[in-house]
Amino acid sequence: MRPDSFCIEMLGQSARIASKDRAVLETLARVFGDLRTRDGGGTVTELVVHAGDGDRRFVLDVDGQEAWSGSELASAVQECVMRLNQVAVAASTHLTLHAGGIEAHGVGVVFPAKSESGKSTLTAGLVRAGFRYLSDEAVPLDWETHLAQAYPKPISLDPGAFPLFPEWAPDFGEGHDATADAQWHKAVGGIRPGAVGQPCVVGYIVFPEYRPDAGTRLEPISKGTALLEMCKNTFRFNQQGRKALDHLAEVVRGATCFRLTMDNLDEAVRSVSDLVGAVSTSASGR
Amino acid sequence: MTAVPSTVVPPIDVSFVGERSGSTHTVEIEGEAVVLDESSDRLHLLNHTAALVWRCLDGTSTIESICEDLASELNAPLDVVIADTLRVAGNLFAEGLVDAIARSTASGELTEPRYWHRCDGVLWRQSLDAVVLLAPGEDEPIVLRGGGPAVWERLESPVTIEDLVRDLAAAHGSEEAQVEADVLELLDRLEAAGAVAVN
Repeated sequence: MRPDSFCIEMLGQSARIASKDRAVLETLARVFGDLRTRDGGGTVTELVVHAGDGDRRFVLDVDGQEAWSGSELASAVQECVMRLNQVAVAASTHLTLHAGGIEAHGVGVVFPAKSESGKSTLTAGLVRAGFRYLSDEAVPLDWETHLAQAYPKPISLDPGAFPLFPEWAPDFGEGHDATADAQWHKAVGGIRPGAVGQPCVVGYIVFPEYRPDAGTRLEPISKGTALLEMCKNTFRFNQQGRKALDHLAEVVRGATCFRLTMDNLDEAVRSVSDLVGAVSTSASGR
Repeated sequence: MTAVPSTVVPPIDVSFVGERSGSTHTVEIEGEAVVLDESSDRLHLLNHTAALVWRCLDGTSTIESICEDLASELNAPLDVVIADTLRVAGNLFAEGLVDAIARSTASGELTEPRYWHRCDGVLWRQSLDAVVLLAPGEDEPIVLRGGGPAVWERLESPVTIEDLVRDLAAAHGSEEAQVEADVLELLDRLEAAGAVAVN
């Protein structure tokens, strides 16, 4: 492996991240820590962060083409996370839910939802509370076994969630600040050891919806409604058609399904913990 | 002048025989059903009642026979079952999930439904007691008087001759046989002029 790069694997897709700037490389290595792998074969996406000029302090090339430039390292990290996630989801050979997910005691809970529904914040809160992490964005399901797999991309927090996780504020090193509008990205390996979940049966399907001042409540929903919503929150569902519908139906049949309206993270974490069975506090590492 | 709409939905009655479209794929789950229509890439969630009707649309049973079975099975009043089933079947048909296969005749024989409808591009205007219309490519307008405007109005949606005659006879308190003779004569004239067609 070259000293100015490292390799990661996301949903079976290999990528190499490179930078000659040591601070940049160390930051990216920390953010992508849970996905690092040996320099392997297969399809490799190349991301290179290099210095630009003027306001273009950082330039991001993807597969040799300039894809982004800007003045903040925090924004460069966000671009890397976002673009690699897009590549991984687009090329995934799994049936992949647009969902957050956690695992405890071999049972998975998935949180399918569109963007801005609060699934990353909820997932982050549950991981902090001791649950193991599957993903905050895309939960792959094995076509044969229907088991949910871990896709431990860094947890991406929007600015609205920063006050809820002050201990996760990024440290970009001297000369680089976190910015008010760039997401925070947290590798769960940096929260505690063993925080990444194992392949697991989906025991619960919870559709989260963040609604300010609406209270926090967990309500059961029919499996038909859950199946419809699962289909709507599956990447490339229409390309996979009836095969995907049959597969998702099997997952839904084995799960208990709820809608979670939430306006308070602690209460939402408590609701899910009560549902699934709280994990031991010693596992939380807090 | 008013242009004729090109897509309208034929009505459904108890003689309707429908079949789940071949482009659909269904998953039943705890009494509900999720239907994927691959022709439009759309998903539909059917509640318990709709899923029950959906399952019965097998391409051989009339709505009437379906309702008789359901009423017996559910121990429910037949008129209520018919009303619910017609509503559900109508919605499924309107969504393009059900293909019309046939209608039953008085003898119980199944026939292909024949729907009369206005042709595209017909220009028309309604006055106080008449409808004047001009079919595409024609120079001479046709004037409909008497019961003609009512027929033209009813043809806004595709309609079978049986439904058309029954509705007009009921509206005017006339004998169906006489109404049928008049309507058939009018439809022949309009069809020859290219103003209406039958599928």
